[in-house]
Amino acid sequence: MSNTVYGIDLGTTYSAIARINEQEMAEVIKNFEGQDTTPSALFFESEDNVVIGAEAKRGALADPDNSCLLIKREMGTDYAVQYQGKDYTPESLSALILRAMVDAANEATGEDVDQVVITVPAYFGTQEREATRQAGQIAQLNVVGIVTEPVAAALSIGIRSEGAQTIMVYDLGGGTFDTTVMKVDSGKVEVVGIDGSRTLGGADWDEAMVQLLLERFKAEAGANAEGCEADDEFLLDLQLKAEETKKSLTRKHDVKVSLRWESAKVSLTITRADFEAATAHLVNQTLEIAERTVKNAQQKEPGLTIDRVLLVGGSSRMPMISEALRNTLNWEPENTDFDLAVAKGAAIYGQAHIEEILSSDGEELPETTGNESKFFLGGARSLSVKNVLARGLGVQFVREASGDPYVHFFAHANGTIPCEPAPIDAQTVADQQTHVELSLYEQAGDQESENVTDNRELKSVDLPFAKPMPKESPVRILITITTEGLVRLKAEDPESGNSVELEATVSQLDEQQVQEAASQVSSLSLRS
Amino acid sequence: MATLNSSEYKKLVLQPWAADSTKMAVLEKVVSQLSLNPQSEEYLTLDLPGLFALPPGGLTKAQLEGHSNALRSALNKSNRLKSASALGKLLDFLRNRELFTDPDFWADFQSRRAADQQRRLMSAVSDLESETPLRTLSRGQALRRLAALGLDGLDPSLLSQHGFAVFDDLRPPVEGELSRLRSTWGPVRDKHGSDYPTVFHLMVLGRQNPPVKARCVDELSVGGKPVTSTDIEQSHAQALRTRDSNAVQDAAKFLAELKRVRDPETLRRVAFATVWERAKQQLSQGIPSVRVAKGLCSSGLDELDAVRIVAAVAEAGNGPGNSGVGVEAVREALAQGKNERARRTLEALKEDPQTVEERRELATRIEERARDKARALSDYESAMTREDYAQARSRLQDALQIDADDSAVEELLVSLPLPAPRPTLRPTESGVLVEWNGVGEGAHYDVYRSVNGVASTQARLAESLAELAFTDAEAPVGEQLRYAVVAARPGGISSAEGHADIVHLPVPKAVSAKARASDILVSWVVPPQTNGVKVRTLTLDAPPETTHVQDSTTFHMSGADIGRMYRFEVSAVYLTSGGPQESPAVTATATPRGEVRPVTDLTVTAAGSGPGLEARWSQSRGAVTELWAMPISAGQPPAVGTVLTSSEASASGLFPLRSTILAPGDHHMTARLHTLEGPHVVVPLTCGESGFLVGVATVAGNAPPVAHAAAERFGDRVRLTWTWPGGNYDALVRWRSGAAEEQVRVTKSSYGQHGAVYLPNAAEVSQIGVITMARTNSAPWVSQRVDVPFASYTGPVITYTSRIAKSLLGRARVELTVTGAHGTGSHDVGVYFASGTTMPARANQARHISTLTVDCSRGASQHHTVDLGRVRGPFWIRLFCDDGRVTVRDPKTSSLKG
Repeated sequence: MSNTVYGIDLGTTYSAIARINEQEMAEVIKNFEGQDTTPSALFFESEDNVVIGAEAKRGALADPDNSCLLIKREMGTDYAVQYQGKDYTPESLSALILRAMVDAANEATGEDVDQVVITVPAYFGTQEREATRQAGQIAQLNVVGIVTEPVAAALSIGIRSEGAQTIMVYDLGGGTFDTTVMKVDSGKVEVVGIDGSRTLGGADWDEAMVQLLLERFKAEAGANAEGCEADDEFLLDLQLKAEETKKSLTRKHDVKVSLRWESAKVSLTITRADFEAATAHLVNQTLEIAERTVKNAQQKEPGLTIDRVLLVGGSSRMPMISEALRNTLNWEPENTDFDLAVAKGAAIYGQAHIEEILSSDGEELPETTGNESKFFLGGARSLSVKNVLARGLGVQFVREASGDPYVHFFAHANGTIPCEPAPIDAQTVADQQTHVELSLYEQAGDQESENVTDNRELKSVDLPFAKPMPKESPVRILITITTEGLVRLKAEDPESGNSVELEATVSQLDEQQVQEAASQVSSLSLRS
Repeated sequence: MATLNSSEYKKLVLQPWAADSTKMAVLEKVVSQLSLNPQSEEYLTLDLPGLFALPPGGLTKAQLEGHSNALRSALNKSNRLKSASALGKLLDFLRNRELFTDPDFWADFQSRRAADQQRRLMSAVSDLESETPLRTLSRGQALRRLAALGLDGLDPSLLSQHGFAVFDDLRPPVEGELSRLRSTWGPVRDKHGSDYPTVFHLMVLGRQNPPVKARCVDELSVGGKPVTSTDIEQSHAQALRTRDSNAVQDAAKFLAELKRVRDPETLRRVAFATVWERAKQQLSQGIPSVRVAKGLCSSGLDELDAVRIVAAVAEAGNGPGNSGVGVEAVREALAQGKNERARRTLEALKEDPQTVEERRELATRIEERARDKARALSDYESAMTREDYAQARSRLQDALQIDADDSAVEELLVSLPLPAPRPTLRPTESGVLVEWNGVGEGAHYDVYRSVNGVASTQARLAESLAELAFTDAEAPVGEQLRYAVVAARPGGISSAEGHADIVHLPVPKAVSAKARASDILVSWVVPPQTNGVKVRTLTLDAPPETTHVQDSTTFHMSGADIGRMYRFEVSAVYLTSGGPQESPAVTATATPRGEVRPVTDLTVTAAGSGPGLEARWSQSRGAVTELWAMPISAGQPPAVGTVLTSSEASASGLFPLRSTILAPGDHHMTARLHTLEGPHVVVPLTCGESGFLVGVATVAGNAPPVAHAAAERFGDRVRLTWTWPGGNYDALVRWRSGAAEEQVRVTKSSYGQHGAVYLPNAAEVSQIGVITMARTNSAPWVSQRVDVPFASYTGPVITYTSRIAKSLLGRARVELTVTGAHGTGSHDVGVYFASGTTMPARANQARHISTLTVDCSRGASQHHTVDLGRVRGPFWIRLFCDDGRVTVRDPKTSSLKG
């Protein structure tokens, strides 16, 4: 078996792939265009040909009907879409990106690696993580692990033996925003709290810039600009210039932008102050979420203080972000590799896994004579990663008085995993009850809610009784949650000894659909 | 009776009437009506006693006469005023009809006027019903309408007796109230209207019930209960709990921003602005006002608020086809914070009776803002005298918010000192890199450095920089340095300095580690101020070791294991005022390879299965060998034993081959290579200390394979055919014959002679393969193999021997010994005769002369003799199986010919 594993940051707008090289350092592998990151964009040229990367992104602007962007936002949902007459799911579209990344990496390194670790946002629930794993399977890759992006970012900065620290990772990517508080030490990472927003990212800053340019253009051009918003070509030009302007303002105070539509020709000057005013509400949202994360972490561990703040994600480069963190929260953020840290960290995690020096349940590995200190682990001999639950988990019960259903949470978001919550002693609700239905739910909002409709049903199973039971007969429910957030429930009827088990490996696609998708993907010709 | 005072009369009656276009319109209409119809009593619409300043109480005819003269005089004095002209005409009309001086006329004037008003009121109500389907008017609207209908001065609340609602005037919302929320409100309004039809649905999300009787004009409430910032917080929390969707996400973002609005009145104005905006949009689309109001009600808005808002929007000229440009432009200017522009626009507006109230209100607002700006500028002056620049900046910004176009204020702002920059420091190979944040447009920066906190050592390193970074290449080594950055605009006051400290500890440069045999030499370059260097050695299975090296720039390690990687972290040690300190470390690695020898036994063959090639060679332990190649036509490879750098190797025409090590070993290596198109020379290059050591090359490469290869039995042979590729190639045919491996080399010309290749002992032939070979002048070759399917027959087999004998008389007979095997039962086999020189290939090319029944089960032989009679040669005797299910294997061809 090859002893190489790739770490893949499968991002909403950009992806990157890395490995541990011969010098035991994490290095990002450049793509065919010599770039470290590849746009997570697909363009379906024809039924059998798919383009992935920068060229697809260019094609997407001109032919959006045959293009796919931001597919990560749909992972774990039943989003279905057709391109060139064929059906695709988020899993199969992500698989195409993964396949293209791995093929390019193998070409660059001369290797033939198929083992990968793929990263996911910390707030991804069970379904989204399983969808990511299936994407890897559809790409015919051996997914040896799924690791969260903040943990990967923390690993990439090479935690050396400087003593335990509490760090906050502020990850503002192209499409999503993550905040994580974790305690790190040599060879150890323990997540304390996570939060984020799946609809907040660099794409929103781009949209704000588009609106700013449009407003200014219309104000300058007056009546000559009437109808410009209905012109696709003009909007396309606007989007391209908006992204360039946003990036330029990272380095400059003001940028001149020329826009033209029919007889209206306007030259605008957009200053950094203009952009910051137009996006202040976005920055405010990130600050609110960051503060909330720390507050929740402090509730879990009173007295916790943040020692370091790491900026991850390409959109964190904007000066307004570090200014806001400094001025509003009194934090001194540190720059990282921004858009490469996560891929590098995933490679580190993967290498530790295949060298069998990784513990993902928080327990330290026993010392053996074979374990030597690892440069890629900052000198540690092994790596221990302890995670938290991204979403609360609960079981549906019925209120005794009203008969209304509700969800009782036995495990909460940010609870440490693995864990075995206390058993639940429930009761039957009616006389002559012949069975009990056990329904497992996962929190579907940003925060817990007892309303059944606010949660997502993962699985349901019936526990039949040996004979009809009277009301208030006891039923005991035992629960185990694994390191990857996998839930196992066992419900027991104490009288008969009957029990039923329920394991929530939830996915949108079943085994056969995965194989069909794999077959579909492998028949496509990929170009990147 | 007091005499009419013409000045007072002018001030109290003539001038106000002249300035009021509504009143003048009414007056002129009356005069016009009377001139058309002298019998008309149109004058009853006017308050004549008031207009003519009649003293109260009954007047005699004489008194009326006198008053009339005084009026005439007063009107003449003010004949420039249009009111005087109109009133003069009216006076003349009344005098001419002898009404003005008739005391009876005045005695019941008011009662007649009241009756006339009542009549007009009923008529007005009827007119208003058709014009205002909502039956809702603001007080201002009612006054204007009544005045226009000749009911000037009538109390508008009288209309409520006729089913009209008259309420206080509603001012349109100011643009600024919604603008800061627009970026989050916009997505909710535009994309999620079905989830959240109104802003109230979001504001009371936490109450779990859809809003009813929502009010936003006089108060902000839903269902009679006020909506406060607590509701907004609860609604935000509820949004976070709700099952995730794009609508919920956008709602949560809007509520997060709305939470920042703490003032209840501002919350109300936000809600009011959203409803106004919706009504305005729908009316501009041509939707009837009644329907718009109904729509708002069905969305949860209180009915009175709904009709009031729609009526006010319609009146404000936001109905269909009415852009209401004039006052709107003033409002827009105010919303944009351009007070002066608003003032100028207002002054330029024409007199419009419809917008009198509005213009007055706008004028008041403009004046208020002007006073606020003056106060801000005054505060700025005070702050400047105190050198409180932060306060000065804040007040100038307040003034600019009122009047963004005021370039003088802008200049004052620009001239203020900028905020202090915040520098960060980083040691690099070139020196200390100082970076800082930009603090304002047009700012330039000066950089200073001082040493060990001593002010007198401060030196300016750079001035007037526009960029945000500077590298101090001459930073003193091992010292505590303070860098200060000051910002200023040209002509402006300098900012306070922002500073950062660093102890400058340059990292070692040119760190390298070279291995020779089992020795490793680490070297570096450090500044003279160092107190030696620390070298930390890391490797597998050994604890790290640290060595302090002084007075040397090298570290020597002997006895290193061949093939093991060693990592060296080198950091410089400096003696500072705070004691010895180390710089960050620089890493170098080395792997001893032992004695490097060239590879001499490289072989490259076709891969055992699948495409590609397989390379094998042996090398010394710890060595690393790369395979490079060049086309045969490119010339000679470098000589064995030559040492090359990779660029020299490339320059010689070689390129590296991508390979996958299949079975790594200490000495013997096997690797898979990709297919090479055409013949190539493959050269093994072994990594050494100073470059690649060239080994013995071999030729490899896949010639194009043969196409359409096919094999068939032909007598006792296998007939093999194929199509040759273009180019100068031979073919090597390999097969198994029983247990033995056979091969034959075939040239194009030898193939061409027979059109095929024949392999003997067809029964034993299997695993046929054809390999195309490149013609080379030297060295062995290798190419791609094409497997040719050919299955040995495994059914019943009949073999025979044949002996043809002829008598002296020319009669011939054939003696056959027939053996059946590998089958069950008996099979018929035919004996066939053919004349001529060509052996028959099939039964239908010969004549059947006899049938033999052969038992194939036991492998026993049978003898048969067939009399051929008198025949002339040449002829052939051959056996074919009649039922086609048996393989008949022929003996030597010569024995079949007679």
